[in-house]
Amino acid sequence: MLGVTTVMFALLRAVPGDPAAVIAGPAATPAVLAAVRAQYHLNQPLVYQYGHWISSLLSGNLGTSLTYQEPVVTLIRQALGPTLQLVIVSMVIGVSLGVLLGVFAATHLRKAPDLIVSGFSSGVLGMPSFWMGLLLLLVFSVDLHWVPSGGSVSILSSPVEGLKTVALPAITLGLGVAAVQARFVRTAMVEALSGDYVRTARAKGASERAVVWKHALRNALLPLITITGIQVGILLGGVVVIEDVFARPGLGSVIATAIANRDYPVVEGTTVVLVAAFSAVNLVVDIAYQFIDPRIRR
Amino acid sequence: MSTVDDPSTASPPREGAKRFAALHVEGLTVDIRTEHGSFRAVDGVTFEVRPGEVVGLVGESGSGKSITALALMQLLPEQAAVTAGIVRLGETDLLGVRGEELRSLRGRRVSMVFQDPLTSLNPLMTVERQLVEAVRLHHHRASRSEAVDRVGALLRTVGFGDPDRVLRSYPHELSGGMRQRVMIVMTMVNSPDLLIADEPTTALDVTTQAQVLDALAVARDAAGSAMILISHDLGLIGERCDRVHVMYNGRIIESGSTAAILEQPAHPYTIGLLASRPTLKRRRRLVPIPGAPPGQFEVLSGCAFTPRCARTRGRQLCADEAPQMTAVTGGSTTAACHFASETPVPVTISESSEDAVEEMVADGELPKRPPTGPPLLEVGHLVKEFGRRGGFFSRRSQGVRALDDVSFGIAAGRTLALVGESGSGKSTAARSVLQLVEPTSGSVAFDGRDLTGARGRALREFRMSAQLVQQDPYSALNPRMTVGNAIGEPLRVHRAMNARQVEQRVGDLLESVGLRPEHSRRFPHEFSGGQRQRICIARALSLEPRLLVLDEPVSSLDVSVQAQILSLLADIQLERQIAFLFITHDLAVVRNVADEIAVLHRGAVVEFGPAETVLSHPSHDYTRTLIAAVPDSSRRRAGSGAGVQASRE
Repeated sequence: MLGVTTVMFALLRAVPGDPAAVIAGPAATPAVLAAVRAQYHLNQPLVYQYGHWISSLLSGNLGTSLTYQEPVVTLIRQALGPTLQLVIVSMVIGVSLGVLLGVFAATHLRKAPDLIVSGFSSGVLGMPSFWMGLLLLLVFSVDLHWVPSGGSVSILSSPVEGLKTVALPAITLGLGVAAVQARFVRTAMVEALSGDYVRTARAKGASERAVVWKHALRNALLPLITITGIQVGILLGGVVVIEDVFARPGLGSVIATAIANRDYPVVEGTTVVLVAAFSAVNLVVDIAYQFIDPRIRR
Repeated sequence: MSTVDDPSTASPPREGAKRFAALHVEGLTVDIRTEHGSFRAVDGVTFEVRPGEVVGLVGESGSGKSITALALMQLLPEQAAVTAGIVRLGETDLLGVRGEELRSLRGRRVSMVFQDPLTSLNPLMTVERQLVEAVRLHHHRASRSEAVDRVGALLRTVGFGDPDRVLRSYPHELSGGMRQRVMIVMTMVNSPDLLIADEPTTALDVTTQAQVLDALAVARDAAGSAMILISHDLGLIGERCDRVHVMYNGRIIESGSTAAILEQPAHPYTIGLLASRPTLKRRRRLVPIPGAPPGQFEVLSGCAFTPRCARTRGRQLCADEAPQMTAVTGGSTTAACHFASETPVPVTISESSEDAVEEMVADGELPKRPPTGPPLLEVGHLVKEFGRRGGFFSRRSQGVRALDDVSFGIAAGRTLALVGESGSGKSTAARSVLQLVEPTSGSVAFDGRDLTGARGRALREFRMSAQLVQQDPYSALNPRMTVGNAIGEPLRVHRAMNARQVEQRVGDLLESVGLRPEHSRRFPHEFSGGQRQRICIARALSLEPRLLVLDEPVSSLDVSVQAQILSLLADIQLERQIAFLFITHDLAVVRNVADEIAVLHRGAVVEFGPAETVLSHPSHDYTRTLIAAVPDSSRRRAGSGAGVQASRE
């Protein structure tokens, strides 16, 4: 965590551009600029700025946005809901589709379904997500008018509208997740299906469906838990671009706007939250192993 | 059979044996596709299993015995296919059933126990789930508790005192023997007509082996099922089977009652197998079958055994025409050999098959053992503890005593066998001797010099004169290094030889282990298991060591190859006067190689003495247990010919 925040802090400062100029506006005089810099400690040495930021971070204070003059925490809280919604729906789509495709490919090894799934994976992985997002937008929103082209509605308060707004961005991100998952599931399933315990299951008269879904899949999913955790991280990165494409409010658009405005506290604050979220997911993954695999239970 | 029988009786009525069907296998042929083309793994196998009978399939690896078994259950791997043959169980065509019919047959009428019980059980499911599934797959109306009762009763039958605890366990929480007994319950819970046991004890310790075989016998007797027992171990087959089929290169080459196969074998391969098998009874010179089985793609028009056969004597018929199974004139088996009746069949059938075979084997002479001299290696009061130091977060643990006051000595040119089961501390002892692990206390002295705390030059000198040969010749050789480099490496490291000298020496070494100098340019994967072990031995010999530590050197090899390696080792020892520390769990091998024996049990030497004394008059209970556990064909269960015999406790 500390490493990531430090690197991010340094990188941000290395990017050319002066936040004071953004805050004060294009017509500001040098005197005004200097005053603005002093107000936000921008005239202090970097080490001082860093120390100041870290110490307030540790006391739970993410600072105040230079652009909006609002606490960063408030901005993040407003943006977190839509992003969380998008990430969760994307992962659900991605993992379930990925597992289905992977199992389908593994059970039809070197036959047409296997080739189709592998073609799907390569195709999706080769396509930039923003471009796929734009295509989906054109077809389902602009031409067919099935779903709105942007915005976000909470699924909890109005499920139908919420799902409609999240559908396209979630599918865009979910397909990317599914493409990777499908490949890993296929490999893991091929191995699991050649396992001795699968032969035992067949020998005791289990149906092919039970063999695949009950005996083999559970074992195959073990290595996938780690990959799923990592994918959440990749997804958090993808969110920044996709929220922009679909004009969704969320952490991604907050961060994108903040970078453009050199709004240091907001960029730093959101990054900290994203990194913390990623770490939390991976912690959950590690704990999940203990429950799923009896062999590493104490 | 749509509901579970009364759960209070784990076994159906005994007279139920009549309801069982016989198995007929006729002309079964299986081809396996590989990227280099396809080959015939099973070639026209024909046999029969009568209700309640135990039939043994014996053969070395690659003989087709496992493929035959898998074919019976339609469990062949994807690249294998039955290309001809009929398999019937009663009226059912086992090869023709598909879908739901096949599913309901597996586990109910035919079931199978596999070799490795750890990988054969689902690691993520409790024993209860897996066993209950086996019942309910075929008894849909059985409630969960009925199923639990039923498997619980059967678990008791196979020797589990506390079935509930076993049911709650995951496979990894059980020992190997327990897992295999769980497998047996899983396969026997529906009282199948036929049980196929494919090397059920090969992955287990000797004492566990006997326990599992007994469990198998008890469960089978209780259910009245017939069994096909597949093994490479003639002793085990002899002890447990009514009839035996010997397989070679995908064919059955000899069939008969167990007694006939062991006492009046007619096929030269069967005779060879018996002659190359070390036995507990007495030390004798093993007579290996020369050569190796034909490669997968070798097409032989005649008898596949011809190149290794001692009887063919260049006769054209053997090379031209594959022999058919025919009753042996004057013998009591059926064999596929043109000259089967030429075997000098012993006139009197002695009480033990070993004696009978001995008479057929010309060269039974043993090399003289060198007298014992001053010990070259002396190990005194060796103690090794693991995990004593508690970590930062963990509580201070008691630690495991892997070696507990172990002392022994070996003189030049003699062999000490270190015997014990897995976990007894054998390998730790070997590693301590080689100074690969540091003992907690005690001493290791080599040639009169104490090695405790030896470093630098002293340690290097010792390492040159003490070499290791490991169990698995597959993983012991670096796959990316040519054989010549592997053998030559120690020479370059320790002897500062130039390339020409190394090449010369590698060539000599290869010849001394029965390979050819030109093999040095090849890679390990081009060799068979036995050849690889020869390469490992050549590598160990390259520095002319005075001590060889042999860690289960023949355990992963087939019987006929094992005999070749044991003979090779004996010759090398005789010629070079090397001391052998021979680590093994196999007492029959011990009988054949050891001068002295040290029996290790839980890290302590419980018995030490001359081989003859220890094996003939064991003084410690554990030694007696080990000896009793070795499968012995002369101890065949009385009257096993009748099939269903009660041997319940």
